[in-house]
Amino acid sequence: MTHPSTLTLHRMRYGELSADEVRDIEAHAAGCEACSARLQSQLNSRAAFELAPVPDAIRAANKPARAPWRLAGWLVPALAAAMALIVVNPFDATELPTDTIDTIDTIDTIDVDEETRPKGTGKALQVWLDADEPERLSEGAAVAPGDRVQLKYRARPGWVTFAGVDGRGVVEVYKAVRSDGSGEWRPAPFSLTLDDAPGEQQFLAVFTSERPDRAAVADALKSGKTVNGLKIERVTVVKPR
Amino acid sequence: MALDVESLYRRYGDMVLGRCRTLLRNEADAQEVCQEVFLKVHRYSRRFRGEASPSTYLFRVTTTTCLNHMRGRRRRPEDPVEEPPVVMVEDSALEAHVLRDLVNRLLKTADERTQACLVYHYIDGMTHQEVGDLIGISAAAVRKRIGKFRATMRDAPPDWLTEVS
Repeated sequence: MTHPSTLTLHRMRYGELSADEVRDIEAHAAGCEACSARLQSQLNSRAAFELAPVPDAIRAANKPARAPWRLAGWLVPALAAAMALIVVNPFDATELPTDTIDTIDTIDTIDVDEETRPKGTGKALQVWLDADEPERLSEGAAVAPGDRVQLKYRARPGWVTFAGVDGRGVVEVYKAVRSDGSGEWRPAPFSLTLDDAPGEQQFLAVFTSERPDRAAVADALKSGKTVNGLKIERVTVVKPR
Repeated sequence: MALDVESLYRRYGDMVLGRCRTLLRNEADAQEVCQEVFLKVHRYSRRFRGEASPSTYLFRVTTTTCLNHMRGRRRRPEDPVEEPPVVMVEDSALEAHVLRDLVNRLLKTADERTQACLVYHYIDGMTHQEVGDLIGISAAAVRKRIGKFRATMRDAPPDWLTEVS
């Protein structure tokens, strides 16, 4: 046989090759000084690697993110409980003066009417995977626990309230902001880290001409329709079960 | 189910780190890019759907990340490549000086996909078919890309160019 590639030698060490493939490589290495040395070199590197500690960044990646302290002021207890499911991260909302940002309390669990749920039109709400190379998530896109997402909204005149509904029907209201009315796409002043609750995760933007009212927003989330001047848009992503 | 990146690191970290050392020839860069690879895989875990073995997937991501890092390094001349190389070329089919020459040449002359073809073929000793399977193009396309690269050095081919076929 020809010299096995570097990857093939690695795969043999990791037990990913068939018995026949392993036998061929071992037979080749027995008569090939260069390949025998390459394999031994990999084994030596493995031994040295096992003695080194796991980097902190790798360890930290497995741990769920925590809600930052500066959001604690607007996280009411009910929302705090819900935040065990989704963690809100800070975002530098440079486009929005801080005095235009307001918040509303969480809404109790609402049974969303599946029959009236509008499809995500994406006309005024977008969901982006927040990464080195941001990627817009389409309706029904697959996401994974630990993914960080950034909502973007079309800055219509008035107010926009951001909320989410997870696969169990639990509704969370993240934040309400006053839009600058420019018509441009603006990032929501926070990002979200997805928890490991399986199933669909809806993200919603409720647009209102006036400062949002909790009951009106709740009605909008229930009906999924335009109600008394409320316009709701949503994008649904899916976490594996 | 969340990807257990620490377990992945413990199992495959030696391969990823070794690959980073081979391609980057700088220990600090290798350590940094190795971590970047695992964090990237963690971040985009849904893209790994089991169509390749974990080692194959990581090998490909590591190669791409290293090449991106090397291209970035070339764009920042104030951050020069450490010379001479401080790490051993442990698991390459090529000698260290040959590897250095190859990497320098491919970064100057080839597009990104061709760079990957050259790395897999010359440094890792893969056949055209193996390279094609790994990066998702045909063996003929791999051969064509490598042939174009060889043609650019027709006037003064380095010794190593004929060592791997």
